[in-house]
Amino acid sequence: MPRKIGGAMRRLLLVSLGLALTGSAAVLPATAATVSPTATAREILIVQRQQQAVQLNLVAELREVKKDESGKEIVSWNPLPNNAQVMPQSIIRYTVTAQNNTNRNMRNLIVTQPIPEGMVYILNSATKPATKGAKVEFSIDGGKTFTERPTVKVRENGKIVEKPAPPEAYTHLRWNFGETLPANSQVSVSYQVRVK
Amino acid sequence: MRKWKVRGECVKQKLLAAGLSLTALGQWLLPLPVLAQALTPAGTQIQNRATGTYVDPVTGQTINVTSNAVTVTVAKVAGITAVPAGIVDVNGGSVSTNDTLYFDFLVTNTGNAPTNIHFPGINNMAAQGFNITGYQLDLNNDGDFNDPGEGVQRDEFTTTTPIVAGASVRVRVIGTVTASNAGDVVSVRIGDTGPNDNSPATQNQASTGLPVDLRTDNTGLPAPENGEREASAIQSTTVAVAVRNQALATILKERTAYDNNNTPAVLNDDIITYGLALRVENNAGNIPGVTPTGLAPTVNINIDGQNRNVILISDAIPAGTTLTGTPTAPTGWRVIYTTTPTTTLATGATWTTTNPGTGVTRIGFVYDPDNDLATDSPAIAPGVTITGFSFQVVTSGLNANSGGTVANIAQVFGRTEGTDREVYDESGDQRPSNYNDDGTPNAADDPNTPEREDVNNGVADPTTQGVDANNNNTGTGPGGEVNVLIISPPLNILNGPNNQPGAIGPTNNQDDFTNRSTPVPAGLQPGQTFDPDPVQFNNTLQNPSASTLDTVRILPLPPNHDSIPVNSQRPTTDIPNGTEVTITVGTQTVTYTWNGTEYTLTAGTPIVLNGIGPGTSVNYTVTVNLPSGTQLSADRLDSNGRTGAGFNIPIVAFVDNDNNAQFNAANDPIFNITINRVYTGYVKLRKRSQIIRGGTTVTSLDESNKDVLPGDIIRYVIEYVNFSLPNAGIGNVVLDASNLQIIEDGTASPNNWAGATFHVNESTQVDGAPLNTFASQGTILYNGAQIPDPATGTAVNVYQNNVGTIPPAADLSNYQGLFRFHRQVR
Repeated sequence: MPRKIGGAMRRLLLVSLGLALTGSAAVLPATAATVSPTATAREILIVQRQQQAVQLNLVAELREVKKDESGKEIVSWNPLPNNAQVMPQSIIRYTVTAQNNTNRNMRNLIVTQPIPEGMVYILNSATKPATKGAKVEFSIDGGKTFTERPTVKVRENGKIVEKPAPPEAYTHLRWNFGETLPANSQVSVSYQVRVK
Repeated sequence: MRKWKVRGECVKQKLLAAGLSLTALGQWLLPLPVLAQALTPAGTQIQNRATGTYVDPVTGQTINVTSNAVTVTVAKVAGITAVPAGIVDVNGGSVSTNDTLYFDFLVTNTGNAPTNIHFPGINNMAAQGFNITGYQLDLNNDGDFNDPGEGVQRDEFTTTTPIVAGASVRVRVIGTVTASNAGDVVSVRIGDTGPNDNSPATQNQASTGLPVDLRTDNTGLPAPENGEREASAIQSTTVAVAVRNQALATILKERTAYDNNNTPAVLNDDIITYGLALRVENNAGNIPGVTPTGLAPTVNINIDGQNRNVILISDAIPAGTTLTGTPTAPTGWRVIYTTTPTTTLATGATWTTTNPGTGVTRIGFVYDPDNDLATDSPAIAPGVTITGFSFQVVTSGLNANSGGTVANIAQVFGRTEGTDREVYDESGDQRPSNYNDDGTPNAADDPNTPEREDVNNGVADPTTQGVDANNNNTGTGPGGEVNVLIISPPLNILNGPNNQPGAIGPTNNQDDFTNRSTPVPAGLQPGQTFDPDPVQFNNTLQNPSASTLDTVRILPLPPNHDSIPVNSQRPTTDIPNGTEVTITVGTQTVTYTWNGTEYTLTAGTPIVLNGIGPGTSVNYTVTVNLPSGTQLSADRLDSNGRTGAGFNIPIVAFVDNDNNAQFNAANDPIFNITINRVYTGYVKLRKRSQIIRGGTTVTSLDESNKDVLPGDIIRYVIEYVNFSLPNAGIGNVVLDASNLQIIEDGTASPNNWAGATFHVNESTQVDGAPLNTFASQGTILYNGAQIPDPATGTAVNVYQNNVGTIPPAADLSNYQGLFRFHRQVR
C-alpha cells in the first residue's frame, strides 16, 4: 500500500494543479502562453512552472557501487525514473535545485524537505548552499522546530544526558539559502536517505 | 546479529516516526529506543516533494514555491535467517546414549514480503553422534506442533502458505543419541551455508537452490530483487553419560545325571550327563552404563567346510572321558562336532554337522532356526532363555584304581546386535558376558571392544578357573567356573590284630581274632571262679581306599551282633556283667561296661578319628577287665564247647556315616570287625592213676580215687591240651601255650604221696608202658634238676615236665601230650 505524505503537502499539490498560487500574486512572464483547452493537467503544470519566478526542482538518484578492473570501488549516482523500484537499504540522494528565472535577486529562499516515511536520513549528508548566510537545519518533531544539531535527552546509568538525535528521529530538513538568490541563477542542495 | 521483531515493536516504531508532542530539545526523556531493523514492505511507494518560500525584493512579499513530486517504490527482497533455539532431552537428566533429543531452530523471513521456505529432509540434515528420525515445523510459531501440517515429517518440504515478512517458523529435529562415549559430540545442522558455524556468513546468503539448503522459495510469488536467500544453523551438545548397547549372554551348565553302570568298583564305565541353557539378559543388574541388547551371531565359524555366521555354544569333552550317544539340541539349534585338537580355539576349529564317531574333542550347538547355515543366525532378544541342550560322556581314561576328576566348562560366542563387538561367556556362574562379580568387564575379554575372546580354549581347568562347587552355576570369581565330578573307588576300612588289619578269620575278615589269656592264680581248682587281671590286646585299623576316611569310630559289640559272621557269634550270656572294655587310640581313651545286653559308656568320650588318609594304619589297644566271679576257660570248655571257652569281645571300626556314634551296618556300611578273645587259662590238664600189683594192673587208668596196699605201684598219667581256638584264615593271633610246665609236687597239699611212696624207675612194661618216668614232650626235672630218670627209691618229691610250647590243638578229641611217672607204696 503506498504511503501518503503529510496533509500540508497535499494542499500544495492541489494548488499546483489548480493553476493559482495562494498567498501571493503570481508573477507571469511578459508573454502569456497560449493554453489549449484540450491540454492535459500535466502539460498545464509544466507550462505554469516554466513561468514561475523561482522554481524548485527535485531529483532522486540511486547510489550504486561498482568495482573497476583493479578492484577499486567506484560510486556513482544514477537518476531514478519516477516510480522506480528501489531495494530496501538502498541509498537515494535527493537534490533540490532552486532556479531564479528573474533578473532580480530573490531574498530569503527557504526550502523544506521532509524525510519520507520508509526512509532514514543519513547523518551529515545534507549539503549547504554556497551563499552567504546559508545554513541547513533539522527537525525531529515533525517540522515544528528546527535546529542545526538536534539532540535528545536520554537516561543513561541513572543520569539524564543529552545525546545527538539518532538519524531515525529526523523528520525534516530545512535550508536557508541565505540573503540573496542571485538573478538568473540556480542553487542546489542535496541530502541522502536510506530506504528502510 | 539481527534483532527479532514482533508486531508490537513494529507499532512502537510507527509511533516514533509520526512525531511526538514534545519539543525536540532536551525534553524527551526516553531510553534510547531499540529501533527494529524492519524492512519497508515490498511495493511501498515513497513520495517526496520540496517546498519553499522566498521574498520578492520588488514587492517585499513572501512567495511559496513547491517542487515536483518524486516517487520511488520499494522492491521486494527476500531474506532468511536460522538460529539455534535449544535442545530438549526428552527423558530429562543428562544426555546419554539412546536418549531421544529435540534440536530446535528458529527460521525467520527477514525479507520485506511473504515468502515460502524450503526445509531440507532429514537425510540432508547433517548430524553427528545422532540419528535423526524426523522433524516438525511450528509453521505459525504458536508454540505447539499440533496444528495441521505440523506433524512429524522426514522428507524435504516447502511451505505452501507463505510466511509473512518478519515471521518465524520453529523447526524441531527429533532423533536418538548414537554417540557412545562420555564427551562425544552430538550435533544437528539444518541447511548448508558455508562455513556452517552460525556466523553472519551463514545467514541470509545468496541461495544455491539445493535440496540440502534451508532457503526461501518464491515460486509463484513476485520474484525478489535479490534472488532467493539461504541460511544454516548448527547446535551441539555432548554425551554426559555413555550408555552402551550390550548383549548380556549367560551360558549355564549343570551335571544332570551320573550313572556308575552298577559297577561301583569299575571306574571307567560311568556315564555323566550334562545339561546346558543359554539366557540373554534383559536386566543389566550391577553392570553400569549398558542397555541390554540382543545376542547376534559371531562370524566365520567353519562348519562343513564353509564359514558361517552363527551363535555358537561350544563344550570341550572333558579329559578322561569320551562322547557317548548323540547330543540333544532344542528346536532351532543344530548339533555340531569337531575333532580339531583343543589347542585350537573353539572359534577356529573345523566343525561338522555329522558325528565323526571317534576322536570328538568338542561338541557344539549353533542357532539355525531356518535349517540353512548359509543364512546368519538371527539374533536372540533380551529376556529369552533357551533350555534343552544336553550331551553325555562316558569315563574312559581315568585311573582304574584311584579314579579321577571330570572337569567341564561350556562357552558361548556371539556379538552385540547392531555392532561388531564380540560377546563371550563361560558357564558356572550367573554373570553374563563374562562380566566380573562387581560389574566390571573381564580384563581378558572386554565386551566393549570388538576383539574376540582369544585366551580360553574351553578346556576346563579347576585350578585356574575356580569351581562351581554346587553344580548349579553359582560360582564366583573372574570368568566361568568349572563343573567338577570326582570319581573314586569305594571306601573301605580294615580292622584286625596288631599290624594285621586285613586278617581273615574262620568266615571272612569280619571275624578275624586275637586270643590272649589272663594269668590264672596257682592252685585254682576246676569249678572255682576268680577276678582276672586286665588283659591288653593290640589291634590295628587301616584305610585301604584311595580317599580319606573321616568320622571313624571304634566300639565294642555284643558277642551276638548280627554284623559278626554267624559262626563267630556267641550268646550275650557269655560275657559276665561288669566286664570292662577300654579302647585307647593315642590320647583318646574310653571305657565301656557290659550290662548283660549292651556296652554302655562308663568313662572317657567315644573315640572318633578323622583324616585317615589312603593307606594309613592306626594302632590302638583294647583292654578287657573281666569281673570277679569269672570262670576258668577250662570249665567253660566243658559247658560251652571249644568256641565258648574264651570270652569274645568283638571290636568294630567303622565310618560313622550318620554320625550318631552308634554302629548300624545299614547306615554305616563301611566297617570291619575284629574279635578280641580273652581266655582265663587255655590248657586243660587231666590226671589219671592206675594201680599195678604184682606186675599187673588191678585197676583201669582213670581219675577215680583208689585204695592201695603197700607194695602197690601207682602209675600217674598227666595229660594236657591247649583248647584255645586255633588259627583259621590269615593273620589271626592264637595262643600258643608256651613254656607249659607240669609240676607234680608230692608235698604240696592236697598231694601227700611224697612221703607215702617212693620213686620207681623200672623198665618192666605193664599195660603197654614201662614203669618209668616219661614225658611225651619237653624235659623232666626231678626235684628241679634236669637229670636222667633216677633209680627206683631215689627221693624224688617234685616231678616237673617243661613241656615247652603246645599250640592250640587241632581237635580236642585227644590230649596233646602226657607226663607219666610211677610211685610205689611203701
